[in-house]
Amino acid sequence: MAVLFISRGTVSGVQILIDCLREHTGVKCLSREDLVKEISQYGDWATTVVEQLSKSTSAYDHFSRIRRPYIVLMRQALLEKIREDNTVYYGFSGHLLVPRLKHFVRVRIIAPLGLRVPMTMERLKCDEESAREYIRESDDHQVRWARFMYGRDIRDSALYDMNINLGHLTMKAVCGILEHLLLEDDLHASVELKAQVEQLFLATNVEAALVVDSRTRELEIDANVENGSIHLNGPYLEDANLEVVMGIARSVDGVGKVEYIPGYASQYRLEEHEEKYRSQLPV
Amino acid sequence: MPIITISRGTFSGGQSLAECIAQKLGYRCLGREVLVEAARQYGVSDEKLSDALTKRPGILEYLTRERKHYLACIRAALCKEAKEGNLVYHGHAGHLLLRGVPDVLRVRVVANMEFRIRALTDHHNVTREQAMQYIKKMDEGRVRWTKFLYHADWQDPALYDVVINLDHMSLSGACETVCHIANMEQFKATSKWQKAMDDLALSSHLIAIVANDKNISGNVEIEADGGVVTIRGTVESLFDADKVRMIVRKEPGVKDIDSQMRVRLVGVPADAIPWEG
Repeated sequence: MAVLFISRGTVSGVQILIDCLREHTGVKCLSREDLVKEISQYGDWATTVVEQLSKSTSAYDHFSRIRRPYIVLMRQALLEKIREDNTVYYGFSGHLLVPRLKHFVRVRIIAPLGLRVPMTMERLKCDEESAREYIRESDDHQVRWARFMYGRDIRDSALYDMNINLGHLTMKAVCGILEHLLLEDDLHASVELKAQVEQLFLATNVEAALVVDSRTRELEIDANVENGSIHLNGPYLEDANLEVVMGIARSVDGVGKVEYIPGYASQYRLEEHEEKYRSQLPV
Repeated sequence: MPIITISRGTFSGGQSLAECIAQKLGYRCLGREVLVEAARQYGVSDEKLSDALTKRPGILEYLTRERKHYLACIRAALCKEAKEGNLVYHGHAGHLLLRGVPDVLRVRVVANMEFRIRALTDHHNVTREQAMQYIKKMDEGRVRWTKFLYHADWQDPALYDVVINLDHMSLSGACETVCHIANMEQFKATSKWQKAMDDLALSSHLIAIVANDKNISGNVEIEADGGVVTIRGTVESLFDADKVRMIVRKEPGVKDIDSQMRVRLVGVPADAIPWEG
């Protein structure tokens, strides 16, 4: 089965869809809160990063220092949950945490205001004007969030494999479409794809071990699995620091040979993965 | 299932997707053929019709009605085909030409620039640079004319029911998915759909034939509702208003006419004359 990433605006009726999917397919459903709970064992990164985002741009330097640990830890928590495929993740922009893989299907649900406003009024017990203001502010926050965290505009339809409009299609129909995507042969998680997820998970575990350790947190070291060994990519290090980094990496479960290649990597390797993926696509 | 419209950019894989869907569902698949039929039926050159759908509007065009006339011809030809249902239309602006018709499945296909450049350079003898420029120019033209005619952003995903990215999903996977959606209960033909389709077919045909008559001066809007035709807009003389009514009356399917045209007097704004013909 595929792994679905559902991205949506605030109060877009996605919970109804998730309940429908769970009932029809028995799929495992994950929210952002589930992942935040997982990473809270390493500190309050999620709250800190949200607080920093709402502050003025002068806090940007500090924000950029907490962004990486947040992304790495969230990615680790997410990958652990989706290793077994057959999962739906319905956080706001969780699809940007992981690179493109054939069975990772990124869906954006678009709901018109005519649908969202009454639902918001009911949920918040407020008048129409307040509901509209709430939606506007929440949407704006999400856009800023994705721009700061991942450098992407989440409103861009090209970021998704499929955009589905609730303005015309019924909830039942959309649930049917998502069910179909989960079971689509073309998007099935093959043995090779699962192996790629495992490699990614192992590399992320190494990155996570480096960001939770205060000695290496700010070094911004990327990990990659190549031919069964871990390749670390980061800044030039003194011997003592290098030893610490190598020691932390070797202590991660499943890690064998480790090699350190100095030099700055692309941003969290996502672009690199995307390029590799694109070059394999048939026209 | 009544109609599936496929909207796509140049060389985005939309035509191949449309053909696959049509073959799988046993539907007819139309694209440029609609233009040829419109040209034949209304005596307009198909180049002019094609330009009306693809060329970006010039500054002076905001003052003319020529393009609206051509679009009415295309819409009328499309409605004639679409009335029978079971159709995949991958020509330009299907979702806008059939605006107002319920339960039309509006699909948009997108692909990244690299995918599109490769598709173009593989089939035509052009350089990468030329391909990129051509695609950008075509996209820009479509964005501009959609804004000009429909006040809508062609790239806005809210205009469509589903937007499929062929950058990631294979053609066969996308084809399978659209067929699955098309077979859903929501897209079965209903009497509401049939009436909306008949009304649009009649009104666009009437607009096309009235605009085609070079002896009539004016800007006429026509709506049909179950055979009752309402004519609004401004004409240059009472004689023109009579001619419009005569043309409309003799067309099959017209049961009654509600004429609300105004006559424009030189130097007097049209809305200052409360005249009904």
